[in-house]
Amino acid sequence: MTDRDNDACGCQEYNTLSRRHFVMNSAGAAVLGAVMPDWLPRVVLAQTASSRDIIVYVFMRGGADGLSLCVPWGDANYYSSRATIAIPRPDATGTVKATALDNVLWGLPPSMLGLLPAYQANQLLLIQGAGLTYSSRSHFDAMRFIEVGKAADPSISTGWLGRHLATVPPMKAAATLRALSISQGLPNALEGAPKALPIPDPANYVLGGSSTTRAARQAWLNSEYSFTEEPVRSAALDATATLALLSSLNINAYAPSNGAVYGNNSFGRALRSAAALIKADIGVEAIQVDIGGWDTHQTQNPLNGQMATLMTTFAGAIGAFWSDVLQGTGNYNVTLVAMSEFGRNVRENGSQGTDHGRGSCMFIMGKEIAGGRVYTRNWQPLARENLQDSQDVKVNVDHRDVLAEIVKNRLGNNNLDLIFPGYTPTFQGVTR
Amino acid sequence: MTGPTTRRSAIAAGVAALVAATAPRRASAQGSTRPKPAKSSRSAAELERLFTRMPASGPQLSAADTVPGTDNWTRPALRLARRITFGLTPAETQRALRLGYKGYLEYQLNHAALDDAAVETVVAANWPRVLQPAAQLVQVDQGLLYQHLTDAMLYRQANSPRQLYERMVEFWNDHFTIYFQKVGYLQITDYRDVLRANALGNFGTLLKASAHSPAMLAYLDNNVNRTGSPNENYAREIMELHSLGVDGGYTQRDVAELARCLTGWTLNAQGAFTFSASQHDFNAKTVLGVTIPQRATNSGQGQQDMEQMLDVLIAHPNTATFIATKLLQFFLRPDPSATQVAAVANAYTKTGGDIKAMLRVVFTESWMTAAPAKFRRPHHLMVSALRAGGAVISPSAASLSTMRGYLTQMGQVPFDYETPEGYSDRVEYWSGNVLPRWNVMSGIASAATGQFVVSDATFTRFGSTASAILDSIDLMAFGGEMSSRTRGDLTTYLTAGTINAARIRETLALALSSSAFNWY
Repeated sequence: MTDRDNDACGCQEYNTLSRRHFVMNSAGAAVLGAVMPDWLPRVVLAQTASSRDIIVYVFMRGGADGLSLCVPWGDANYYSSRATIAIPRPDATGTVKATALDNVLWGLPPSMLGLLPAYQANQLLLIQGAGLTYSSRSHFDAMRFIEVGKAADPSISTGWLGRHLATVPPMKAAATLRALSISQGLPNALEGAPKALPIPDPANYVLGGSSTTRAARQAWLNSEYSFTEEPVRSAALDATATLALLSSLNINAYAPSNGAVYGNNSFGRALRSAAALIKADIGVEAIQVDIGGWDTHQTQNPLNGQMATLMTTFAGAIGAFWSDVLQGTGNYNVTLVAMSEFGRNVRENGSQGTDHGRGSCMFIMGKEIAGGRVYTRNWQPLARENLQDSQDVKVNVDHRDVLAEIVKNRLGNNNLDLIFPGYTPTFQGVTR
Repeated sequence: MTGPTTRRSAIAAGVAALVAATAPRRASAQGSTRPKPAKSSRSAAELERLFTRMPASGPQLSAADTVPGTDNWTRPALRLARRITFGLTPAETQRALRLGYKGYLEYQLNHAALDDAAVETVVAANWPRVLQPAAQLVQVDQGLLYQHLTDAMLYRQANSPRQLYERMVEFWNDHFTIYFQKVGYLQITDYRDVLRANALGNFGTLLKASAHSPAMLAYLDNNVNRTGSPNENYAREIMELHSLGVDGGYTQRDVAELARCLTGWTLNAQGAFTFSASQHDFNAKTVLGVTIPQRATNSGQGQQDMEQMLDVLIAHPNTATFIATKLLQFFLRPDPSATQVAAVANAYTKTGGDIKAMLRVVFTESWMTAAPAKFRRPHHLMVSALRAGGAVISPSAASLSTMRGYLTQMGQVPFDYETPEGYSDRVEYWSGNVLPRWNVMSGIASAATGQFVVSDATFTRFGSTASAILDSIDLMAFGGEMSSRTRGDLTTYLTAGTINAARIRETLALALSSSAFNWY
């Protein structure tokens, strides 16, 4: 490798960390060599003992309707506001109805039952009425402000995850790839991250053309780009190193644990790849995955239509990820966060859909997450007088309170003033 | 919506320091073990003869280019040709060298004199939707319309002799960007009747055409901007992104007042512009210090509010400065000097917004020869590679889905940028996604059959020895100015195995992937 690896951090924690990893790697290789799973043919499995979590950040693009994701079945206002698109109460007759998450108010829609095991294991937390406190109903502004980590500040363009990674030593000193987005381009949240790449399909990240000459062409490009201008040089060298790294894994043959089934859709495949990369223990510490399609202005149908299909995909893959990576005694430290840029109006519109609103529901999953509950702050019944602008779920939990607590307590980074500039977070007890 | 400089520009100082601390060091040639360049079978003098009237010795160029492989870019006319075209072809290289810097610039500026009938015949035969009026498009499948819009654009960029004109259409297509998924068929008329119609014309005419464009009004929500419930989206963006610039001296109050001027500017069901007096706010307004009087609701004068303000925006000195800066950044350098901006802005003011007059200043020869190389955006890279390879796009294929797929892989899907600042022109925005660029170059270089074809004969125009093949690649991709180091590295690859069609095409793919081709 190049001298770049020594630039990251000169601090004591870095040195301790890298030494420990080196030791663990050597020991791990000796012990585990014989029982290596065949999807990891050439990678040494190290059971890292870092106390820091890897973060999987799921962005639900389009403005996901929090009241369909986490159903307030105990609130009559919900049913009076949603004549055609409400999820029936758990005690309703019929089979298509909410499953209670507590005794009085909250439930999961039938399409989201894939999340129930994680919830019942107290490792899944739902935060209702969360989001961006800055008032915006523009998808693009709201997404950008959330991903940047500060609203309406043109002087900041890097993302909160990018700044987190830039201000913490790598989990593995020699990591080739510290962060990736499973997408065509790097999302705003990861901008500014060192060793971060957009990789649309980690299972098929290869240099095209003849496989016979691939290695030679890759070497040629690596040499060519080692002389070129920044920032292209770094990105190119990260790409060639990642090509070698990912080709040493066989993600296509990856076999999830505990019979987990991700679903053969782009979101399911993305989380499956994320699980494979985490288990490969190659030093990836942040993975962003997008799931779009939540902009349900028309025929939302969260029971058996458009939104139900999407929620099945969403919950199925995240539930599979829990079974695969977090369930049982596996030693993978991961926090998963799923959120949207905003929720939708409490009252349905004239086309059996909902228009852009404010507060939505965040999903936080992990072994050290204080889960098994629906967390709210100052929640009030959804009567018109209690709503934001008389129409929306209020944002009573700032998303930065949630993310900052995770950054500090689970990702081991105290630089909250750099990650969420100009904001003093109030922790909400998201982590144990 | 915030502005173009807000999306990915500067970062907070403390963070900048930290990010900088972790950023890799600048590439250094120290410790280089580059192979010695192979000797060309053709002397430089011989190559020059291939291009007919090559200047005997060009002026001393600046050492602005630290991009490897660009050290041999000694001919000013080719520097210009790289910037104002969608990539060199052997013919374009020859033309630029024959006409010289100023001659070639004028040749391209006088776009109407360049015969593009052959190209337009293909467009009309294969993608006729781009020639039809809105009323004829309103019922047509959006996927088909998108295909016609995009494929016609790609075909023209790759084949039209009017290269600077097509580059200016590209420039305005980012400046006045519109999201196809939001406006659909309306974008076909906007692209044709606003952008293409005025690309090398007058900026004021262009801005007015855009303001009356149903696609723009729908894209920026002015179709729901009504008295009593104003929508400020377009009012803000026309000042922030289209005319004055984000630092153009307007206030939030100006935005609100301009939004009131714009109330009632909407479109009808046939996709035509219409002014709806019943939706207009006829009360008095003050925008940018200009007072618009209250008018009678039956005066028939409501539309005049914005017409008057368009003239104010067009005549505003900050508009001259903003457009001058953007043109310089697009064509010359990311950091134009105050002197350069003032000179181009002065051309704007003196001519009342004549785009060609501004470009003549932008392309001042001494500025161009001192300008640093620029990183190609994915779209530009793809079309340049097609042109370098002499790719024959098959008109009978009718669908250029492979090219559209390439653009998706590289992250620059046409007419698909959602927010109104348009695709970034900054290297930092594009540099992360390198692998798809290499794969697309590989795909183009290996295209022996399909929607576009790079023929085997392309490589052997000078013979079939390794050296002759390198000469051919030099002419195709580098205008005969391939650096000795690039030549050496490519020769090493070409001669590492049996020289056959596959290896030759791989060598072209590497040439197209090299730094010297990815910068221009």
